[in-house]
Amino acid sequence: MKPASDQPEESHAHDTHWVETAVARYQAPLTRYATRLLGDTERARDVVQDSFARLLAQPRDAVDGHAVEWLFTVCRHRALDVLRKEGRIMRFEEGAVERVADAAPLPGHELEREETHTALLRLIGLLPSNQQEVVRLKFQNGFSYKEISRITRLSVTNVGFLIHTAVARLRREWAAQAE
Amino acid sequence: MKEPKDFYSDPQLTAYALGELEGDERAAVEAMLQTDAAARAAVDQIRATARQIEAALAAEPEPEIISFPLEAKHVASYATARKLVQFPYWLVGGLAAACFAVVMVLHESQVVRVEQQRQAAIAANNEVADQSARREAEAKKVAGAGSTSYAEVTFPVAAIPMGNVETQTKSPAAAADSSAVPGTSIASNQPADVETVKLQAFDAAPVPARGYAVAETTGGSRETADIAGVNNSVAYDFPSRATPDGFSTEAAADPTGDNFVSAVENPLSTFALNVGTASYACVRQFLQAGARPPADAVQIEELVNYFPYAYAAPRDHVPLAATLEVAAAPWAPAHRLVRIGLKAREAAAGGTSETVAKDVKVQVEFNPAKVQSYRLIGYEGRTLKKEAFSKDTLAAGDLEAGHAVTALYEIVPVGVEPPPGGEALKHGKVESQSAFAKASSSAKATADKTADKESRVEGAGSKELLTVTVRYTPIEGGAGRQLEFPLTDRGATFAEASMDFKFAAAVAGFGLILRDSPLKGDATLAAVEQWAGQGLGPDVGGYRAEFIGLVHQAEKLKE
Repeated sequence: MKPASDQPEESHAHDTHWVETAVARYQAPLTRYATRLLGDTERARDVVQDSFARLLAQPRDAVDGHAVEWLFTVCRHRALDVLRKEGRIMRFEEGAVERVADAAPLPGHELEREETHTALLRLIGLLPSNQQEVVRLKFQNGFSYKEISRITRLSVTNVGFLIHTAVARLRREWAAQAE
Repeated sequence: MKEPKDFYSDPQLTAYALGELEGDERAAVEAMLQTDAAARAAVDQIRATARQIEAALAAEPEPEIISFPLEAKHVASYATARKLVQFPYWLVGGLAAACFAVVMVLHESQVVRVEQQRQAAIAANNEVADQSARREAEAKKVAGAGSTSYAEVTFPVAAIPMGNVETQTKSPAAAADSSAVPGTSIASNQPADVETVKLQAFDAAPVPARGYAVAETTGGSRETADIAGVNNSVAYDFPSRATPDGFSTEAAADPTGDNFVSAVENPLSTFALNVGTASYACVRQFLQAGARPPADAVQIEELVNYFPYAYAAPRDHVPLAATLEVAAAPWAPAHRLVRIGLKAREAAAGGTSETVAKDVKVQVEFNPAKVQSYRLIGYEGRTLKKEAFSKDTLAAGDLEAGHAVTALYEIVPVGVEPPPGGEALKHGKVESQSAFAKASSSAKATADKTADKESRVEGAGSKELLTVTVRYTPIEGGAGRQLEFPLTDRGATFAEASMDFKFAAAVAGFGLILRDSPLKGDATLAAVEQWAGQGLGPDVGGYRAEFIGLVHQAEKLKE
């Protein structure tokens, strides 16, 4: 998916066809993204639906050219809102480390039995949540560092650092596994 | 994590390999690549990894989509709904920045860099807010032109309030979450529980066990090197009951199962480093076969330890790290639930099994100024000798690479009615009774402890709830080492706890119900399912989802 170049083509500012096109095209990736953030598909669907409803409420001119980035941004905000209301965004007190610290890699022998993709997905799943998010935005949704920066409100440098750290770790763990 | 040539540690090279560099930056990297074959190889490696990641993520199943028609009613309902939602965008930006700052603290330990990154993040956040404000103005212009058919919808997303200070301060969540406010210092708000790691050498002079707040110090040297460079140090005084080894050999009451023990009488506890997980499979088998497992088959500590948790990996060449967390016990909200996660260093790449530390002993010391009584959840029916809790035998063992263990303590804070003990007594729990009776019946002990208690109160300034101390002998031999992990209770509610915490608590609650423990409190199967759901998280491997399925099974059996 190349969000930057796949904007809807229709030019009627007043119809909803362009939104419907966006729904058809991006509902699944958005739901997947929201599911990752929220931990369950049910609420992810709500958030995604709400995001599209908000898109529908937009003057097309306001989002033209970056509708996909806009959708991911709004979707993320809505998901974080849900998390925040449920108290699932942790305060920086006891336990805060856990959310951001490295997850524990699994023993190598367990991984050897898995298929390549599954094993790599598992490694990705063990990355700290903020690294996972930018890795998915980059490699699953095809966003650039700059777009990810706008979606996540991290600086471009921060995004680059997170992706770099994640890729380095995955490369290392992948190599260790292949041994 | 430095590679020999260090190319892999350069985010610029990764950015270049992923096509993210432009202009001068790109030219600079290309110039380097011209002359450096190792750098070229690194770029190839990064790209190969990126392709693998892309392929794997592309193969990831997409969620099932129930498509919905886009109709005007969505817009209408949304218009109503959004009036109730005052979403503070600034807060999200702040949180994201804060997350990053903490990551930097943990992984880089370079305070200067953290500060720079934090400032950059804050600056970026402010910039976004500025941009959003501009977009808001533009959006309003567009709406004002009346050029759309959505004239009744006057709230393009960019117009959703941002940085509305009144709203922020009214929101308890936002107010309490001051660390997330851009401009407040994250660096000074590091999680104390993991950051504070002290190494003590104890071969030179006998180091007595620490005691919380004893007025009359008996001497005993302390050689404390603050290797993490982080403060939060607390003055510990040492009671005289210590052995040269540093761990008390005083016989302690058994705090397992349904027994709460007094923190004044028994401030020290321990738990086994090696816990089996067989009980989970057993419980699962019973439930899936449609039968309730017998209480004795339910070993709560084994259920809890069946699941993987995301524990912080050790840093600074120490063999293990502790992840500590405290929040309200969901089945008894007046009580505190403490989760102690110990995680051994991972084996070197390709390594199979490897010992990372020898003669490892764990000691939990409760602060009687904060803790009235406590119990170690699980271990019911184990014939644990009281002496075992003196730590000289039970927990001593070698620590294998990658090993992790989770222990849960339920705490009755000072000033809270002790219903659990009373409850247990009402139910005629002889064991509980004996534990309490024993502690209070010895005249000598009582006299001693009373004096002890008073002296402790004097020093009640210690703000920690407890301190976990781990002693070990390095594999290369030499002096024994000691790691200390203090935990301060900031009063987190259960809702504020981490997902891992919630899930572990759910599993423990499930065990309490299956055992029909008198201490199960408010725990019900429905509640357990709810807690587990809140703690589901990414659920790599689907273990947690399976657990929720088992809770369902148990509910069906109940009907």
